[in-house]
Amino acid sequence: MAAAVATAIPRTSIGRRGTLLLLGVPVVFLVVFFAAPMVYMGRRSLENGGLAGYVEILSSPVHLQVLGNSFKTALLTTLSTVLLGYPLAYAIARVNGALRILLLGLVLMPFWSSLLARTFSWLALLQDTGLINTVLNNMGLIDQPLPLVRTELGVTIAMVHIMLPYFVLPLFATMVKIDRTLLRAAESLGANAFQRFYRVFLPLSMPGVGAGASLVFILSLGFYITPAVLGDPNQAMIGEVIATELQTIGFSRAGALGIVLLVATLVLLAVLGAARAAYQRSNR
Amino acid sequence: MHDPCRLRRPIRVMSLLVSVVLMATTACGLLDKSGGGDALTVVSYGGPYQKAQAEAFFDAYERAHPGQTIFQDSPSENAKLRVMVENGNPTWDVVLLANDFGNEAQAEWLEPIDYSIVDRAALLPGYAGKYRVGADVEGTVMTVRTDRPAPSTMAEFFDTARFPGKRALNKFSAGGVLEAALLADGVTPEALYPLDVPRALRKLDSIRDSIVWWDTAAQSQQLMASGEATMGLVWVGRATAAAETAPVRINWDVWISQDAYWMVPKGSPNKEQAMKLIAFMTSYGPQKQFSLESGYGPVNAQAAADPEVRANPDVPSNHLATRVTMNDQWWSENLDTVQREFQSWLLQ
Repeated sequence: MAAAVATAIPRTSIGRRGTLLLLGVPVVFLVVFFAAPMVYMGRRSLENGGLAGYVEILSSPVHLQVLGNSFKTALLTTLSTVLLGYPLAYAIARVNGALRILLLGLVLMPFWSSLLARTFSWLALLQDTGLINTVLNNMGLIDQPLPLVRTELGVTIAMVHIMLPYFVLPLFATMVKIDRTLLRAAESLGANAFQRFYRVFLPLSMPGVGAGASLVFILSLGFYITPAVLGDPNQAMIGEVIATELQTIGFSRAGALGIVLLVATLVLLAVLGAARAAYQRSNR
Repeated sequence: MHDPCRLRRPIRVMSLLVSVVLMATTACGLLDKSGGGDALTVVSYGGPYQKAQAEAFFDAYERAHPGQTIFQDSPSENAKLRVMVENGNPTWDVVLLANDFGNEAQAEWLEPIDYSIVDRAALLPGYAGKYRVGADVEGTVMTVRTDRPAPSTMAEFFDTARFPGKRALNKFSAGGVLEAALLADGVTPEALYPLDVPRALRKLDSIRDSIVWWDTAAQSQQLMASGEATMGLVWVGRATAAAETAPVRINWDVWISQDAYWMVPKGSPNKEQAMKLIAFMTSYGPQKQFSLESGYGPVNAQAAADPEVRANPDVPSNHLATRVTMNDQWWSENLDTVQREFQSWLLQ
């Protein structure tokens, strides 16, 4: 692996030692701060009777339901983010100058405030006595508050808002790199606007969609406070259950739940990766 | 890759990097302890609560003991304390945790309290544990909106026909919600334990659609202050905070204990200093000052009886007669199974 990287980079630039150093620092960082804690967590998850903890989780309807909820919510969030984020990234990539900076700034804005603050802001807007329901009620449009909070809708709205930058930024980066001359070439060959987008631009932007959507999906799986505050209590996600286990009972089952989540996620990503590879082969 | 020389160099570079990282982490560990016996690290919940503790306890202790330094950390967590003790290097000396920790069942992580230093006789009954000393008197209290018909008993709190509206409840099995349900169902406070969990859950089922669960204390305050909930079982500090901005009051006719305790992690290198700090924090002067500052009740009997403290109607120690005391021992033995039952009920 190291040798392969070393030959890929011309020796005169940084040399083999420099390459190894560049590679070594992040590797050591990952070993100390990621791999080692992971091994520790795995070991602690086996504390109470070895694999019995895992058997218990995988045979418990409660834990399976929570795991299912997590994947369902993450999937719903990812799909909504893609539908909302693609046109947004497209618009940002199409405009120039001050307008682009302004739009990017608006997308980035949520990054600069705390997750908790954003979650509570949504609560203030969506709850039964919140802004939206109060205004609609005062206008006489509704007499019962709309179920915007403590429902799947509420948690999806807030999570899409939080996740949008993670999707839009990688997609935007992909879109601005797409060679515009390809679109002109398609036009000269008689493609109309829709065909130029659908047959040329969209396929070329797909790597960005894939990168952004994976990021959103993985981050959504671990969400804790937003579903707890805005979601339906019988739609609890695994992050919340892990936190409660860890804070009140201990590491053993919390660690096992974490490992189960990790493995389930890796399996799903492997399946998606294999599907994408098969799709690319069939298109070649 | 087949040339052995090619392998050696990466190994050398890697081992150099590893040793640099190890040296750096060891140095950090040494720096942490550089204060030695004259520095204590105290950990509490954070926020305005810890700020009041800093004024009444930590700063006052430093003034009274020149040369002593107190470092503060927050928030405290059971899980962090356990990891520190298990790894043999507790960097916390005095830790404040809620009543579900610090019982006999958690002896392996805690130093026994040294009652030759801490004055057991000065404390209110129940606050001098083997491994913990009460920090203040707190509770989960029935909080009601004054602009809506308000219940006065637990039975009425669970009567959604006579008292419509949403109820804010703590989404934690050991947060008092099961005790409240059983009290509403006619169980007397003396007969609560061992808790009849299925019966409590059946009672909760009867008001299920009217429950709004809170996960964080800030959320409970927001629910009460905004009127999203018309009544709730929330921590006293949040109830009084909501009452400052909204028509909210506490019904003291029945409330459930939910205390905070000081404890010392097992293997703390500053054990004796830690005990001295706890003795100071539970003595009359600091206890009185903390209560006046924060609105929580003193665990020091003399401070609890002080006229200035008695003058505030929302200080929990002024209502000990109507308090329903949680059986922490029972909880520490049953939390695991009850939490699972509660969780599966929530998901139904």
